[in-house]
Amino acid sequence: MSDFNRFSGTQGYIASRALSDAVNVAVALERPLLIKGEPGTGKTLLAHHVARGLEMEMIVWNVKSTTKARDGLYVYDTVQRLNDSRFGDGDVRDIGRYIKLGPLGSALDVEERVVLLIDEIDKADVEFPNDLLNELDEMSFHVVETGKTVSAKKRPVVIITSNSEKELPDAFLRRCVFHYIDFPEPDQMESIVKVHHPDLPGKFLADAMRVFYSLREVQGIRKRPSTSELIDWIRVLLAAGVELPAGGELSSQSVPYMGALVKMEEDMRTIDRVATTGSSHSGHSRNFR
Amino acid sequence: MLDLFYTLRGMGVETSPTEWLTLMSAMDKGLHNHNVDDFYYLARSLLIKDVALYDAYDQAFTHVFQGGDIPDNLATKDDILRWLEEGLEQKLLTAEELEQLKHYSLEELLKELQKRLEEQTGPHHGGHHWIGTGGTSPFGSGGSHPTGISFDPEGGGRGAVLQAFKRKYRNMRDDITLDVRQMTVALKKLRQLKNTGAEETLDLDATIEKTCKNAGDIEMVFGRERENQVRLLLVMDTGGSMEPYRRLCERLFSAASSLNHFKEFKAYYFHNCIYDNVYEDVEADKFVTTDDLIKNRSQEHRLVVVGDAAMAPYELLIPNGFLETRRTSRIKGVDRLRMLSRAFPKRVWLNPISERSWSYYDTIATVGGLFPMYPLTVSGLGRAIKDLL
Repeated sequence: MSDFNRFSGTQGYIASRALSDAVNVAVALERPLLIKGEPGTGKTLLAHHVARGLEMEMIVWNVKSTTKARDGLYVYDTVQRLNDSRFGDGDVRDIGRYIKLGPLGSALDVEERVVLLIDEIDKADVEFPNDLLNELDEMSFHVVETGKTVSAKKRPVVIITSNSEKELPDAFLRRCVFHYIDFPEPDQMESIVKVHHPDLPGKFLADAMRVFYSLREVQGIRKRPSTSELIDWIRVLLAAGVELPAGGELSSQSVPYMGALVKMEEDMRTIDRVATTGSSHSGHSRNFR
Repeated sequence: MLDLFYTLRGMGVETSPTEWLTLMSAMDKGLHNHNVDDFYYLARSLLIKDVALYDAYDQAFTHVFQGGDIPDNLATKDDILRWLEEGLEQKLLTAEELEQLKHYSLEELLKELQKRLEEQTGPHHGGHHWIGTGGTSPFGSGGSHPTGISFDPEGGGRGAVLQAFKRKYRNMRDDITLDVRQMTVALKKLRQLKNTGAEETLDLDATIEKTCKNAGDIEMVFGRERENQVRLLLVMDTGGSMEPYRRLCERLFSAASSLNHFKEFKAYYFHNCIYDNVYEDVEADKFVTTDDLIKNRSQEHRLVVVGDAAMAPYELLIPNGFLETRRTSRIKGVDRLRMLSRAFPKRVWLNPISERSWSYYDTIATVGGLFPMYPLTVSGLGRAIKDLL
């Protein structure tokens, strides 16, 4: 297929082969791509870069706990119509004027193929994914008020991110292409950091990486530092112009600006405790949670 | 090719035919680029929807395409499950035999299990030594060894979960345990809506009606937000005989606490039976007294107790059981339960033990007389919620 293998990361985003394969499969099969992974592994960022890499428009639907599936399709602005009927602005007989398309609705009602990001789907009600099944399958929906059907001329590339372990319904999962973003291996991480900080001295980078990965392996830590935190931390270090310790134990004293990496008070204490008692970090690295 | 599908299913990965067909059509489109690596990712992204199963996929893939072995532990576990599936009806032991069998400790059993796993080569049902079903060997499923180890899978699509059961077996067929999602869906039904707060949401229907009556002069009608009034008290038995059900209880807890839907949600723990105190945090010895719990109740409170209610009679009938050694009390466990049952008209007791086995425990009948008791299963939870409304 000619348009296959179009996405392979962009200049600002390093995608593993598995990830770019998954993106391309979803694009080619016109199925939603479900992305899971540790917080801070770049799930949302992926959608932005897919849109950039494929040169498509992007529509974002941020899901909140109160979001209803219907909100994504359209909203009938009755109050505006009522107001117009009273004060005589515009043609109130045309209900279509008062139908406001939601993110999913507008992703379908376009000429060119777009990327639709449904961000953090797990935040919504448990029934939310089920309510979307039909619309995502058919890529069309019916506007009751006008009797019109909106259907996609070009099926959008749908990217769905989910953070939590909360399970999504099976019927929903069956329709998705699934990819779990692994936590990057050190060499991949180096190239990711280089994308953001191209002129980093090699020694500095190596030291930062060592501190970062050792912190991640401290036992009993609840929120392990993630990629985005590493990048922020390096930015802080560069701005402050401080040196990293060459070796030795990690503690809130020895590592500068550790607050950028470790966000929980409790984790900070855990790290300090491990540093003082000398019980070192666990040996093996974990690929999957 | 089809081998991969069946190997996956054989390993307990519930890949559906629809997903398989999607993979086929993806291959028709040449999405695997005619190389193994891309095929590996293609098939994984379409067949596997849970990162916990990636490992199983890797093993299946190696097995099918590179002639690798399915690792021993998985293969063995699989075999055991297959032997068990071809099972037998349950054979009940006499009381004396049960007594005899109780003498095995858990460590002894585990050691013995290891030995038998190494020796056994095929299914074996109805006997008293090898791993099988319906027998009196301490190992297997659906059997009646009082302290044995069961292989009954826990359900939920994770395939074979080796579970060590100290006290009771569960039956494969009619015990459908719950996952967090199912629990959340069930708990959502527990609500009692009432209008509260300031009048700030637009009541559209009323507005339209008023406006029509006014002959087109708009009159906005505002109403109050409807809010769930239910306050949920979840009191859970921990430790001891509840250990095998810990994961199930954890799921119930996470379902209830993730559901941002109750007016108030509090969880407490107890051990064996509810005495003077229930604990917020057992390790930190943080507790509230049961009297306070009763004093602070309101009409909106719903009391859900989770426990196996399988106690030794003395735990119910002697004050404090003697297990809670740090504090003494004059009130018997059963009287505490009676006080609670009077205080909370809307209450249920969820029991993780299969309903069919309740009659084996005298204490379950006693507790069941005070609390409406339901099994902690899909249907049981559903019935319990109805009772709470």
